[in-house]
Amino acid sequence: MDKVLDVVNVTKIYPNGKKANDCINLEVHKGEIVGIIGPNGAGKTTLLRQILALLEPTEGSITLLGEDIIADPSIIKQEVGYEPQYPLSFPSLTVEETIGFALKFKGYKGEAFSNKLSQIIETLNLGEVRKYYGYQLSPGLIKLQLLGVALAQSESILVLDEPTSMIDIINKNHIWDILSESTADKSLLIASHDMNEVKKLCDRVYLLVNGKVITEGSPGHISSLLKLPCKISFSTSNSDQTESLLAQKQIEYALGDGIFDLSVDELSAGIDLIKEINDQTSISYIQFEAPSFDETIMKLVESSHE
Amino acid sequence: MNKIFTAIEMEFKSLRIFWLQLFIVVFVLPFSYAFIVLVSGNLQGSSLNYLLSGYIVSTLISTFINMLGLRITNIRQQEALELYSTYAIPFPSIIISVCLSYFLITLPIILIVLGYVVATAQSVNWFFLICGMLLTIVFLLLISVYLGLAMKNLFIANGLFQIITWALILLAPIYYSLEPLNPIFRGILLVNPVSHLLNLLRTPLGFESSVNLVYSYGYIVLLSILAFGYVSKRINSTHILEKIF
Repeated sequence: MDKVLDVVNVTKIYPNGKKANDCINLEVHKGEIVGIIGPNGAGKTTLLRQILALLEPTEGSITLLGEDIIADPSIIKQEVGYEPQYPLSFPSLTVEETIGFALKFKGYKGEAFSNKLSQIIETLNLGEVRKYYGYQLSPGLIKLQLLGVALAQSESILVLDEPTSMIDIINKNHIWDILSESTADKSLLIASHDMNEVKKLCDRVYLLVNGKVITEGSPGHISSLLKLPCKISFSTSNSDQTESLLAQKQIEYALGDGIFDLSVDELSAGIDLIKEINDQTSISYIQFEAPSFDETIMKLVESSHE
Repeated sequence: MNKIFTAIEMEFKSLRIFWLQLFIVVFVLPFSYAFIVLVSGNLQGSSLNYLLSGYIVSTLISTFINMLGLRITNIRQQEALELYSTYAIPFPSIIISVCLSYFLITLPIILIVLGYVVATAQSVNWFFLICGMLLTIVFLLLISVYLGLAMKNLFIANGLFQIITWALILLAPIYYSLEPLNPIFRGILLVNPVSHLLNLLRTPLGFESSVNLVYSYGYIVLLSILAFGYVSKRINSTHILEKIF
């Protein structure tokens, strides 16, 4: 795949001596969705700001479509659409004006302008609030508006800093669909705290802790890095029989409202146990979490702190 | 150039909710000084033109330093810089378009008042009048952008720019004459560049001045070059969030 963005050995040290990024290497290829995850203060936003040439790297290089953006950042304004982390808006511009100006700066005029503006507003379900001023919008709507500006602005890559924070679950799912579809002609770089978002969207993920990349790979690959307990919740048609089986196997469990909650060491052990229970009495409800991506990330972050 | 026009349109639309503040700063404040002088004496002919030429300068000072300067301080806040970074327009173009927007806001007043002054003046040196007017506008734009960029705190800037405006207007012979003042106070007033801006406008309209026009041009051009040097260095910095941290 063609490389769209290439970050090589980027280090950022602020004037106060704080090292926000430490020798970071990151790649985004054409049509790929790449996630950056990590705790607060890990250096995600600093990295994005360097990629957008808002901050200058202390060391290292960043190239976008083969162009060195530290030497000549003009390509960023042509190619990159950016959604900031915070809900920022122009208080006296309406939603359609705010997105419309992004299109005008890109050179859209006449019918092409109207069509593209309507398409973005409809895609983001902003039709009802298109005449609302910035000061009238909720933080969630402002974030949607910013995503609209980023979609209007971007040519080859979207850089999104927590794109669905403050957005309700219905719109969140809708946006995830839009972002997934946009990979036909764009690449995406997403910084997020939302593990569901990362799992659902990202082809590859970089885990940043204290300014360093401590691991990278697909969400599935990261989930398998550590052997973590497998959590199972289930209910059966015969609770007494299930209780005696669990007691016989000396497995600790909690029982509430007919639902068993237990934990086993590995996924394979959990599957075997469920098979055995199902052979004796039918299972009417089951929830399997094994091994959870969120938990793996938490363990990796904790172990890197240690 | 299209991006500048679009950014001017954006700036005008952004000013919609600030129309009352704009009306006060552009019209009410400068006019109130002139009105007091106007009603306190029976001004006619050349005295009225003297007052109106001062009114033009005070309108420019009030608008540019109070509104434009504050707007520049607002734009260089981290949130505003980040918001503008979502658009395909470079930072220098944003600053230029904001300056042009505020110039356009003052243009009708300048044209109407200057038109009246020129029509009723006994003699006009057109070349020096146009040069003086252009240099006055450019200098005040540069000083306002300089102040706006130099101030980090928007809340302090809000009060400080009003004090600077007040000092520049009162410590210059906008609504009174320099000649009858005692030499020490006159010397103090001549440190104020506004005294020289007034000289650039009034001399071509036939008003006599004790300050040499060449000296006034030299002083204003020198300050303009210094302000331009600072402003161009600051706005051409590519990594616009760098100075904030």
